[in-house]
Amino acid sequence: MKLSCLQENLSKGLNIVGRSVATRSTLPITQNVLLAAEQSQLKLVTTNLEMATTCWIGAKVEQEGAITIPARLLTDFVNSLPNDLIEITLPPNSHMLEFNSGRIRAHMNGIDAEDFPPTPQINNGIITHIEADALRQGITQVVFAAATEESRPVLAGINTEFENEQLNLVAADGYRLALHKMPLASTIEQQYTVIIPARTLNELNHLLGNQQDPVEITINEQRSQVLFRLKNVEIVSQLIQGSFPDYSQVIPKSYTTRAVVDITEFMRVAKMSSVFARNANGIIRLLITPGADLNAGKITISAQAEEIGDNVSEVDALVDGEEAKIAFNVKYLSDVLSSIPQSQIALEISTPSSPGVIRPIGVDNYVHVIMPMFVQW
Amino acid sequence: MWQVIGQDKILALLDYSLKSGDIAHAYLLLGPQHVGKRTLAISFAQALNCDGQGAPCGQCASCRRIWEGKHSDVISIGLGVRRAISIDDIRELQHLANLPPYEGKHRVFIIDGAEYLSVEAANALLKILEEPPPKLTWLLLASDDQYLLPTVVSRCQRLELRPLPREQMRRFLIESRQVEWSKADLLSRLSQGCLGWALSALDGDEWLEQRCQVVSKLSSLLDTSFAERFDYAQARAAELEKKHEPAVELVNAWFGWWRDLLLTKMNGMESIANIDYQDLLRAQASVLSLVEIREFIGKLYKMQQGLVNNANLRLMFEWLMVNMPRKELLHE
Ligand SMILES: [Zn+2]
Repeated sequence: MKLSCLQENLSKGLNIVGRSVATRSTLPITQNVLLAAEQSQLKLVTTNLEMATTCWIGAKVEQEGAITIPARLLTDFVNSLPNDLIEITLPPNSHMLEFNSGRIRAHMNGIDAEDFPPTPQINNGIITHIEADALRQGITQVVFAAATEESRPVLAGINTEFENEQLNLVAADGYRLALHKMPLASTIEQQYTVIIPARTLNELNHLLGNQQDPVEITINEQRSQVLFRLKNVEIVSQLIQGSFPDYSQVIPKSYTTRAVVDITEFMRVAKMSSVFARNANGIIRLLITPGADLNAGKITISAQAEEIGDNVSEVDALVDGEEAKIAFNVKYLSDVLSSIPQSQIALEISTPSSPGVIRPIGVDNYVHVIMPMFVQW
Repeated sequence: MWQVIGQDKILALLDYSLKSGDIAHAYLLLGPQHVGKRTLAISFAQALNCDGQGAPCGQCASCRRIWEGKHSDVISIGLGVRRAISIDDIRELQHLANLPPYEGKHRVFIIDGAEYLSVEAANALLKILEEPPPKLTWLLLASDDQYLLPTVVSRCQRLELRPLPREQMRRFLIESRQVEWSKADLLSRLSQGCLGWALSALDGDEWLEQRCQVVSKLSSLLDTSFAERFDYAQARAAELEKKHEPAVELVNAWFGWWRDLLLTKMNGMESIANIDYQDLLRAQASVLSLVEIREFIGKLYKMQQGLVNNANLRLMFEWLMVNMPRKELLHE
């Protein structure tokens, strides 16, 4: 194997595939990155057995070949090089990869490319496309609501529903639920549902960066793997096996009180309350008061930490319905508020023991449900 | 072709399961150290993923990758140099458990030394076994199920590996490995029917030499001073600290010696393991009473339990040395 490429390109490529290098390793080679010189490109591959990332960078290939090198070592070394041409050589029958760049030389001991787990090939299955912007927003608005513990594996994934020309992403961790609907750029014939690991979508979101081109999504026939094709990058992810709980009943069909409030204001006071709430299991209390006569309606947010102190603040709101109250975990409220790009939301509640619903104003593509906390009023 | 010898009943059962597609979510492979649990586990993993004829063919790419430990769907965790298999190990596997096979057809997770699962780890495993994901089989390897959570045991299909009869082992060593008769006889006796043990002993003569040193040393302690015995305890504890397997091996060597003393005392010399120490065994057996031998074997059982429970190695050896009978031997 013999090739040359620019430090800048190699460094970028390694940072892209670096996101799916295994951290703890049940299979040591998954801490390596596969380098394969083919045609006029250098292919970089990593896998953590949940997702595999492949990235192609431009290179001048004199002799094809492949090897795997510890990802951390290679990345740290390449990042420390000046932006110059790097010559990479693997002598025949050797595992010692040689680097030459200007006056710098290095050797790295690798492991045979044959030993690297083969990246799952997804050639046929169901193919569709989606606008990068829409996907970015969708992922951002649901992924934080997925469970981080493994106690219920399906909840560590995002329920992904393809319905003709629509894609729904759903996440739930038992305390909250997020549902985002977006249009597909190319319609598909059937309806089907898969569960994508939240971690995969998080990484995909990072890799989408500023990409403008639509993303191609392919799901294999066995519905065990999904392929996301980006510009010069491909992500193959395993799909979580199992079925997502029926979430439709979790979303309340009605409310007794609806308050429309400015997100920035609401965020500001929620943050303030969190100073006290963090010493009180994260609890903040919301009291929604309708407007009367010339006074506007309002939401009163309070937090009290025993033996430490308390705070109360108000924000103006357009209130529809009767006075109502509910307590939330402030983290859940902040998470959802900071994921919404619109300027206002509607908070819909009924009793202190039924879930609260948050919807952005002006669009109809997002619903967020937060379970209430039970407190003494 | 199974690369497993002498476990015909188990192989027939596994063959039937493979044919009918009725694979259990978890199997518990029980048997003494080196009896062939690991080989059976690897072979079964091959059979579940084989792309060739007569699974496990041992030849196809999948079989080879599994044999070499490179297959990403066959993951094995063990004790290594640690004292317990931790909850983190199980969590990592739990994460992978609900994902489909990566490159093969069926995932196989092997826990080598299931008796060393920490309580939290065993409970986490139990949770997974209660809602078993498809296309995943757990293989728990243990020498004895008494150290396992009964709730875990009850969720596994038990496969008890039998030690190979002495004749069969001797024949195998002579015919398939071209070992000379006297060496094959010694190995078949020392190995107590555990082929893996005999084969690793075959790999190098230094191993047999080492065994000679170990046996000579431990057998010499019967008529020595307590000071010398404590030196022994201290030296072994220092040497074996954090080396679990060698510690188990040493205790097994002690067992072997005292079992031989018992056999010699009861006129069962034909069945002894340390066939090359017949004279010393006779001499020692003649000065020990049957009760003394039995009691000391009981102490060795305690020591074995102590190893599983991670008791302090030095204290255990010292305790053993204090409790070993002291006898004057008649030297010719
Ligand atoms: Zn095969």
